[in-house]
Amino acid sequence: MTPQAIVVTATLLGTFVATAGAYGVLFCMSSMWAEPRLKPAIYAAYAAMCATACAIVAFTPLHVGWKLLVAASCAAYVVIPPITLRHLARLHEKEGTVSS
Amino acid sequence: MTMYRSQHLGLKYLAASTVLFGAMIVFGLLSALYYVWPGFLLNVFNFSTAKIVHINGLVLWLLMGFIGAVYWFIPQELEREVEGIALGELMFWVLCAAIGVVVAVFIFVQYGGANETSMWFINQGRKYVEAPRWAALGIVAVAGVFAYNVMATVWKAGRSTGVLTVLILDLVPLLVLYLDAFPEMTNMSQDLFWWWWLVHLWVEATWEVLIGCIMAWTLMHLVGASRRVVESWLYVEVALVLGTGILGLGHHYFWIGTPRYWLGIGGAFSALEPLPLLGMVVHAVYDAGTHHLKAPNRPAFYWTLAEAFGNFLGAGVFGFMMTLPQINMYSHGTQWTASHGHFAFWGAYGCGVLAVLYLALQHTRGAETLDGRAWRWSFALLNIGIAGMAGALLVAGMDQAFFERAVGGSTWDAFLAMQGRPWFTESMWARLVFGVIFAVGYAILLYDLFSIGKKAGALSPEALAAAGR
Repeated sequence: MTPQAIVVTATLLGTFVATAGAYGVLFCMSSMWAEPRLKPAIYAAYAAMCATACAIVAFTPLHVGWKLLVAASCAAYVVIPPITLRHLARLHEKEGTVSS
Repeated sequence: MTMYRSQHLGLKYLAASTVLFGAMIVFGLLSALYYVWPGFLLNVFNFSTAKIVHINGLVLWLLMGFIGAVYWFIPQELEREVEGIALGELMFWVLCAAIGVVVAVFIFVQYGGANETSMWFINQGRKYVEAPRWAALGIVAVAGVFAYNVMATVWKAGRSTGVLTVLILDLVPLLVLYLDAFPEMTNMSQDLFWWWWLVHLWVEATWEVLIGCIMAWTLMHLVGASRRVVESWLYVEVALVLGTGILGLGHHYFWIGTPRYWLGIGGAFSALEPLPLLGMVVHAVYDAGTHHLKAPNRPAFYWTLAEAFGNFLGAGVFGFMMTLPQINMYSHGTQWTASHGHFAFWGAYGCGVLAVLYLALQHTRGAETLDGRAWRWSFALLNIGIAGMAGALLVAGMDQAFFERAVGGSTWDAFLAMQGRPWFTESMWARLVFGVIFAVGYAILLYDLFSIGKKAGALSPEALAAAGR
């Protein structure tokens, strides 16, 4: 791995998780407040996460196993917010504690 | 205001935790000064001792905060006094006295010869658990009494709750893992192998579960979250955190002489560690949304939110940048690691302890609501300070990985040349500046803790129920 590749790869890995976080937060905010104006931001965060994962797979010198892991993580990050939110909403509905 | 003895003890622990938080900052600033002024306190007070007090201060302020939080919540949970509370109170003063003596020895004696006397009375010589052996034994006694207090209370009450059951199951490994501070192995690889069980499995397993229990109670008292919801979520989080965190231990085994398969195990499980953290962020946003960012105790509410986001950023984003072996080969042991450590500890644990502190204050001050300007300033300055420090250390660490490790080949010459590189030195200055901002935030926090809620009227029964008992 070249010195430049270390910095680029690490930055891409951090960006990947950061965009996943942004996607999760925006998805949750949009669902909670039924705010349609957030939809483009969700898609943008989602696209940024996938683009970062693609860049990691295509341009970094990581071993193929790590690239597969990043690709699988990308798929997992996509479904975590909706699954988590559904689970939370169902739990709160059973308790009758949802206020919005 | 009527309080259990255990809650008084909890407040003492939280107060001591706040004092140690300040001590940690003082010695952190001192440590930062050595980087920009290498001759600072030459032959008077060495850098390594300042760093030891800084890191041990971190461990202890958080640990005392956790213990304080548990003593605060347990009587509310079981509606009875904690069993063996007198012993718990005695142990608090023993711990405070021991910390005072150990810090005094660290400051005035600093180091000794490589012999048994030094190990027992000056410095045990094991990174992050440097307290001399007599004090380490004292910590075991304190932790043992704490575990006894919790377990005996549940036993005497004849009932438990989901959160308490998880807590009890967590206290056993918490205590047992600390015993890894004691072995004296001459094989460095074996020594580090077991030492990481203490360091990693405390921080990324048992502490995560402990703060999970504390935040579960916090949410119940802060926003009136349903026990069933909180406990269901706690089980999921604990399963995910332990599922990824235990074998995530492997990312410390990359370069200490352990078999090659740890590269795969450590990398893979570490890569999964941000997943539950994302779940926590979603949960935080959900809670914030359902309560429209409003709660009777705003500082506690915002510190709770900061805990979820800080954990994700510090542990998740900053951790994932450097956890895969191909990157870690160059980044480990640089300021990059320090950057991740600062941000992750603050997010995962520091913010949680501060949330509990404000929750306890609301109850003791009898305040219907807690709000004001000072906490906002301290909240902003502390978070800006830590983000700035983490950012500056990240730049310095990347510079080290690039020039010292990858280009320079990790040689002594490369290390020395690194100390004068502009990006490194400027980052060290930036870290110091953000450290000062953090310290100012702490000073305002102290002012706020002394003053907030004192002018408020009597607590209504509803608010009383939400804040305490």
